[in-house]
Amino acid sequence: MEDWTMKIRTIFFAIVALLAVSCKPTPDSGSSTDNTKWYNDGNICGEWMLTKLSDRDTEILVYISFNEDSSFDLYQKVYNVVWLHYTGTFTLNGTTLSGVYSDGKAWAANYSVAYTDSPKRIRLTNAADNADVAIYTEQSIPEYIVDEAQRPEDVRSVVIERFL
Amino acid sequence: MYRFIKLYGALAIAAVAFVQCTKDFTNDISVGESQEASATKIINTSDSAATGSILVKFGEGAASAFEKATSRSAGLTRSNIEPLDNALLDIEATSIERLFPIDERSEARTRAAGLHRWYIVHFDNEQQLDRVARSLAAVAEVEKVEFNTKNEMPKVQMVAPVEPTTASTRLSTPQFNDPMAYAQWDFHNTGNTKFNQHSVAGMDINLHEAWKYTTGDSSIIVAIVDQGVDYTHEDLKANMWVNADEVPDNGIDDDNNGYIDDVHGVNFVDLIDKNGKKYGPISWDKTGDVGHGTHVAGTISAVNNNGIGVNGIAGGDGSGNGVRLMSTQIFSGTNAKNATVEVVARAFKYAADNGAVISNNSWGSKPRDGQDDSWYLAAESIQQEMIDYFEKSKNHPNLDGGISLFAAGNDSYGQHASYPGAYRNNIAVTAFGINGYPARYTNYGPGCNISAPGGDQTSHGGNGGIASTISPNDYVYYQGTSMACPHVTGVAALGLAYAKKLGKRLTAEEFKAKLLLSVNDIDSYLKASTSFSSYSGLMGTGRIDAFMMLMNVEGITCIPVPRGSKMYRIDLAPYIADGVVNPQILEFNIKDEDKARLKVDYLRLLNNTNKVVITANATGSAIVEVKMVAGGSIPGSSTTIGGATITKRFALIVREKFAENGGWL
Repeated sequence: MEDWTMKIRTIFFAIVALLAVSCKPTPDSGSSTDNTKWYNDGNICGEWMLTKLSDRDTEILVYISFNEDSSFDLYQKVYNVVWLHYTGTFTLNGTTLSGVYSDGKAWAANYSVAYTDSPKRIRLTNAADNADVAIYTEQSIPEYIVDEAQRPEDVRSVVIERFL
Repeated sequence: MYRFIKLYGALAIAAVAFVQCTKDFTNDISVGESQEASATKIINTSDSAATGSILVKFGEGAASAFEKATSRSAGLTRSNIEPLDNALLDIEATSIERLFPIDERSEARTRAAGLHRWYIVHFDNEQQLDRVARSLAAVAEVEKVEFNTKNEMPKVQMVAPVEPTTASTRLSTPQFNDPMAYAQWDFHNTGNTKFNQHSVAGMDINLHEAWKYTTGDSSIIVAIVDQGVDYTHEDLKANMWVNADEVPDNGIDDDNNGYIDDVHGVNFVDLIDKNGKKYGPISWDKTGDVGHGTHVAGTISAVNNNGIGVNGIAGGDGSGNGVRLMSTQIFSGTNAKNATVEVVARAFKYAADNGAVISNNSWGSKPRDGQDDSWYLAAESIQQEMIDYFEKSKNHPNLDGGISLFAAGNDSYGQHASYPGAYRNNIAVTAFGINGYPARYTNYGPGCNISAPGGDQTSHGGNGGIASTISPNDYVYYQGTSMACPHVTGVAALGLAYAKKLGKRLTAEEFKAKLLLSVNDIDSYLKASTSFSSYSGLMGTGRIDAFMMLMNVEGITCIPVPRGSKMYRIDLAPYIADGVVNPQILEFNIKDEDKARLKVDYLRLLNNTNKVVITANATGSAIVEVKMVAGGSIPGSSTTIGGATITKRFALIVREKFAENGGWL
């Protein structure tokens, strides 16, 4: 009886140990020049602001909201002087993020996603070009941007050339 | 013996004569050289110069001597440098004083710039100016002599009162509760032909859109370099700059800035000496005053949302946050000293030393053939030196310099703007009317940098002018590039307010580029017209847009480049201003380390186009600096009047692919 109890106890603790290992965030294999530890597990849902591009601080203005219902809101002031509001849906398959705009156009790329804390950030790496890395920091999208951003189709637009 | 005496006597006489002749010849040579050398010290001509005064820059020794001087002769301070004192006596000088009164807070900077060596010499009006200049220039201790050239205020050509509103003339609901906002088509033009039959929608500064983001900031001080601003006006007084360190009307220079009772600014025309300091009470109602300063001040910062009067571009939202107006008065009635170089130089120095960050200058000199930057710098040297001093002052935490705006002039002159606006480093503003076409009076051509509403009452009637404040507690339409200029000044103030709101700090160069490129296309509109096509390319970069200025302040425009695309051609025009404005591009620069990082192995700006050809083989982004001409197709130089050279930053983004619809992801 005592042997059997001992076996159960051993199995129990083994299971507990296994579970502990699997709940621990899985380190991401990607490197970071500032020694930040990135992980494959996290929650992409939230509001984010672009802060780094290809490992350099950036002035480029982009906010993204990844929503619980798999929709996204993208606010950008990139090729225009005005804020534009793009919408669409995204899919997160493991660490691979892909998306489609509401006008049916696909994103320029799929991205592999990594996460980190302190501060909370996500890293999107172009699946086809691992030099194309953008880091977004958790940040509420300013209300004035949400209020004022225009739909791209409504703006007397800068010519966006097609390079596909 | 006699023959010996005769010979040697003759020789002696000859020797003395020779020495005497030699001495005389030597003197003739030194006088001749001295005259030539001293002539170069006289840096301008007496054309358009005020009588009775002249400006002199001394060497350090003479300046120091005057500062230490304790003795006087015939009421005149003596330097105890004999040739100098003699010259002053010779011209019968009545006084000599430092051009810039001592402001203890900025004296170190003043001395570092050599400005303490500038003096003004006064003498009888009957003295012949050229002789006075030659006498002073002949003194070794004098470095420069400058005649006290006069500038002009463009004539106010028409006046019309702002009438109470009626239902048929009311524009769309104003943002604020100011009852005469309906009259300000220049801020928001809906094309209401019941208001004015010539009205064309959109021919305005797009202000209502901008006001959604900011309406001003009281940390920003704008110097009104003009007739005195009526600081008691009901729609201005809450936005007047107040020198908090000065106790009003106590006759004391409480803040030791060299001026007594300068609560809202100084009248530099009617300055008097008082207890060793200067006293210049602001005035606006002398014979010859037309309320010019009060009117331009109202365009910039009339108090918004106070239930009275008009709106001001950066006049706040009624909570006390309007930008502040400093009256730096350079015109007073019909005074002969109006807008002389002496008065203007002092005004800019005061503005710089007392916290102003933007200056509005609705004045200039009459344009004529033969003028260019060399002429201007010679004619009005210390004036431009002080404009530069102002622009190098760092009086606001969000801008590392000052900005000055000038009226292009009202002479219908098509060869170039009036100076100082035409000077390559200054910004000259042309005027358009309620239909968006150039006002009949506006100067245009090289040296004109940007366009703004100035009204055209001759063509469009009274309310085709610009409505703003006038004394006493009244409102009137005026027209002129004088009225156009404060629109750009107001937009600059609004842009700086937005920079502060966003926590952005800009260089003056960057800010100027953003301002001059915050425009809507005017040239296509002009080319399509039968009457105004000849103005195309000559009115500046375009029509100022306040909303675009705020958007430009906020962020950086990106230029996408596909990675590895050989000889990829970028057309820069769509990324500048409204996408239609097409300034002449001079340079497209990327730092060498960024070129290496992006593996740029080909980069070329195609001559006389706005196209760049580039091959970039590595993903990443970099800042590029694009140098271009603001106003016209050639940059200004010392001998060619042209546009301002500005540099705008873009972010070049190199990626494998971009979304077809311009989306970032």
